[in-house]
Amino acid sequence: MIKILLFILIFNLSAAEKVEKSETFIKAEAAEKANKAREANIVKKVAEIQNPSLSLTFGYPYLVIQDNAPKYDKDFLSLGIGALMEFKFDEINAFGIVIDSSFTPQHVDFDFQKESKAVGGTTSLLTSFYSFNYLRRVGITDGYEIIGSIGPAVGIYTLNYTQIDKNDTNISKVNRVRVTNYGVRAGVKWRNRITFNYFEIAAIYSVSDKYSVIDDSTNDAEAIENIENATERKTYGLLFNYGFYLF
Amino acid sequence: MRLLLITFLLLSSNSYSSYFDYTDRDHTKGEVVLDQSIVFAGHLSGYLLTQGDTIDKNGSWKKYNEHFLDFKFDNDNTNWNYFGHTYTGSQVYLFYRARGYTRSKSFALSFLSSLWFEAFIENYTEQPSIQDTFNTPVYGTALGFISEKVSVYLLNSDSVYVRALGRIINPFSFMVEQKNVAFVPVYRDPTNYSFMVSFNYD
Repeated sequence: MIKILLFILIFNLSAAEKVEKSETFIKAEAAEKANKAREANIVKKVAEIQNPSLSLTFGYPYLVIQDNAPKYDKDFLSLGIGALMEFKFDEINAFGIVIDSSFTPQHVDFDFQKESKAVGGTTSLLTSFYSFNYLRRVGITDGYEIIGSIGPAVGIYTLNYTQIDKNDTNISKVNRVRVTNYGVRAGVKWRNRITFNYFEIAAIYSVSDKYSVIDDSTNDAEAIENIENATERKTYGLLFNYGFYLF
Repeated sequence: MRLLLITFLLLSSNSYSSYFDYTDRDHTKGEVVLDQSIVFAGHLSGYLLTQGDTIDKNGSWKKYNEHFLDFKFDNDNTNWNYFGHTYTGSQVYLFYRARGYTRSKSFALSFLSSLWFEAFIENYTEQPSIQDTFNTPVYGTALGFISEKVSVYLLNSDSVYVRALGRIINPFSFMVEQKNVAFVPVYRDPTNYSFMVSFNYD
């Protein structure tokens, strides 16, 4: 009887150790399987027509707003973040909703023309463009697909002056200026056929439509001035993006 | 007899465990409508609870009709538009994921939920916002995707504190049923036995 109890005790300990190892192994194996399933899922999802896929992009935007091109080192420090929501019609054609956001912490000597008046100084610059694009595969190689896209875009850029050098407007450092634009976005991307990661060059051209001066002294973000049908002024930019699919 | 003994010993030595991960499944149209309704009710409740002053100050049915589907860019600041909405969007996405929708469908449903909120709820006090309609589901899904991955990793930890962190990051993980993993011994001969692993998905 004692021998049996001892056997139970020893075996229980060794079995527990084996189980612990097995459990770790099983978890790792299950995680590995899950990863493989997810990778297969990405391929499947991109190929599916009905379900949208989502990719994120990071990159550099070169923007010229109201003839204010980057001149100084600080002006070139910009980050672009975006996303593409893609509905595939078939293997060649797709519809995409594209978001292109960018942030430039400091743009020096930025002259903003507010109708016949102007404000100049150092400002941060935030842009957000929303485009509705038709995407079409225009070429294919062994490793890459070349995909062209074009479509209308609406967007805003926001100026928040941190230093004002000249000013004959009512814009101050506690105001934000938000300008609505409409235009067009066109791009071409090289997409890896295995990983689906891609590199994209896109161009945006837009004209200003209306703008608001927003009071930031309170949390209400009240517009203290709205100008509709503003004098059309141009915004154009080149976006250099690297993108990858989440699913 | 020996097999039974081994089985008993293994069962008594914590041979059962659980593994946390998402399982996609198909849904009926009724389920989709129900889940959209749940999110709509959640949005409405959150709006009533957090925007009481704005509703009193700016809300009216006249404005509701005037604003209906009249989308424009809002004046909200960057923190709210990019971070606040991204977070709420991620939770909506995680809700749909917890209900068993695929990532793609969760994204599409999040997009619709965002649209319903802007078009049918928020326009009681202000015009529906273009930024919110797109930023909330798109960037929200991206954050939700990352939150899901991180929480799955954390929730499979042996540490209760790490698992608690996983629950905080992804509260809707409570709606995901855990998969039980059983280690069942397979007896071959007196010197050789192995384990069969059984996953329970119910």
